[in-house]
Amino acid sequence: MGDKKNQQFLDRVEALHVTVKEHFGDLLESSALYVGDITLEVLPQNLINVMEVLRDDPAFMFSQLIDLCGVDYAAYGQSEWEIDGALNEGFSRGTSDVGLSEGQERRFAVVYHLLSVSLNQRIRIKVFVDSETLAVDSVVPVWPGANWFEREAFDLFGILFTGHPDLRRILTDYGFVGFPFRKDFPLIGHVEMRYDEDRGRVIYEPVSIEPRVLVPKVIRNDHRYVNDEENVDNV
Amino acid sequence: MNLTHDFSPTPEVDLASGKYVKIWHGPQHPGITGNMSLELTLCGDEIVNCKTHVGYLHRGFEKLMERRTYIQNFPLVCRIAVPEPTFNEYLYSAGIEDLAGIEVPELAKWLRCLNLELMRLGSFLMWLGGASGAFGMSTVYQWTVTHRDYILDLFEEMTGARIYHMYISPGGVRAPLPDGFKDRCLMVMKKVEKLLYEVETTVLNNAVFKKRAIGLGVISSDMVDAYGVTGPNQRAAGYARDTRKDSPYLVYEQLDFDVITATGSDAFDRTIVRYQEMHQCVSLIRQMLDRMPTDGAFHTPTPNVLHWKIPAGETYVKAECTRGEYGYYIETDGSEYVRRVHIRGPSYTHAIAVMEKLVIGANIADVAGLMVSLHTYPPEIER
Repeated sequence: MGDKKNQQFLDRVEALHVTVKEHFGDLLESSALYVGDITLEVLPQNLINVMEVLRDDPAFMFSQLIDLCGVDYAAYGQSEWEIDGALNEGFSRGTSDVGLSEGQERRFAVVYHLLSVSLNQRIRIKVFVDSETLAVDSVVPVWPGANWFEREAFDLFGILFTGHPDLRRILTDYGFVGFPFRKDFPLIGHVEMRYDEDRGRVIYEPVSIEPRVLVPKVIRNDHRYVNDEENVDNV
Repeated sequence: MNLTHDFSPTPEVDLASGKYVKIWHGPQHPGITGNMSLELTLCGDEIVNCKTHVGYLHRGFEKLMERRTYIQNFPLVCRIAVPEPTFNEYLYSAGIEDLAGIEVPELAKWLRCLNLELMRLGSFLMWLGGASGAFGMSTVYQWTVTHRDYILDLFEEMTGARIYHMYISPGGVRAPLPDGFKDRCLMVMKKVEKLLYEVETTVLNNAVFKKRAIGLGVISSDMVDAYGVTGPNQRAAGYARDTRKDSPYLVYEQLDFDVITATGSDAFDRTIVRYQEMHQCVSLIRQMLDRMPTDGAFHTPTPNVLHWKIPAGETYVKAECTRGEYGYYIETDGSEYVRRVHIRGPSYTHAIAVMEKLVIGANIADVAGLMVSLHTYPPEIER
């Protein structure tokens, strides 16, 4: 907060938004300006094209790739437990089944954050990965530093980056199975690790904890909020 | 872009020739606080190939945050980076405030800023000790950690905790300053300043340190762009970039400071930049204590946190931490959980990508010093 409230800054962002829209036209699926950030959505086949222009065009000069991450849009906006109807007895236990639909179109996205060092401007690019192949072109040829960010997105979400020089897991254990940041991967995982004295080494076993969703046991109707339409706390 | 630096992977060597030795530097090693390892291939004392291995500290914070309500995340985020928890607290709060449209009171902005700068100073002090230690001057470590402890005492007064403050919450801060804090803080600043001058004579003007650090690990300007190098590492390469200046947040616009740069881009210049930034921290803290409003609200009313749903949207918030640009990408989907949080720690690029390139050709004895000079921190790489 603070930097995004500045009127001068907002004017500059709006001007950049207009320039980007004019420059790319049909190459963009959509573009949005939300709380001071520009988000461009492009199709996977246009990605490298757009990225190279953004890096080299004198109006953009996005010389640095600041961040790259995967996002899972499965069960978007669905709550695992209901908070509005909570009474004195609290909630029932939530279930881990949030109604994932198989083969959801537009499930995984890759989000890129670019920074222009010379022009001091930022932009966000979003690409929805093809739901069949889960593959998207690698931006390593555009920014070599993307290498390790893409490895992380592959490790955690299973998104494949075509043309990546060395697509190995990076954060999880050697020999890890599954993609832990997908919404259908349980929070406690599938296996747990312990040292086995008989075999004299560390072994993996199926988890002994039952999967569950974190739910506050009791949320009473707080008297401070009862007559307050907007639910505004006056602390 | 015209690249002079060779970005292709270093060629594999023939280990069977008997000319090379492969050793693991880490996961426990002198150099940086935290676990990461370097798989080094040596020819005599010289490093010919390096692969970085991270993942020893992956705790899955981002996944944990997706399964917790907004207020349950507040005590969680500070655990992500031990020496600088407040940057995580600030960025998480700032992102939530952006998305929920909450205004922060003026006093809270000053208190946040003061907290961040004290943290920066403490973190730099710890780094300075580590850097001197890596170059064989371990006594300096004792001095600097002692002085960091004075800052932790200030935190204890200000927030009630020494390391994980849980002070900056969405909507403001948890408490105002206690009585007499200003005087005690100024006293500590005087002590720290005295220490800094001592360090200048013992470390920065030390012939051994100069001989080893000058010319060690030069980051070329095309590496800066290609790998996304930020912070003091970037400024030491001659780029006058500082998020506090370029997109001022909190009260930095009202404070008087310059962006410190150097040209050498080696371990020595990076040390000098950080050393000057410590002086800058002291000056910023003094300015803030001077100009800070003394009363007013320190927390703005927020919705009932147990029933808090934030409208769907996304934001990227960033702050200048000691190591570079720290960023939070927060996406909400209108439910009571956050959809995705991605934490961009500057160490991710510095420790993995840049490190792998810089150690090639260096002496094995300089690896610890080189790692320290990049100021990286594994828990923030892996989150």
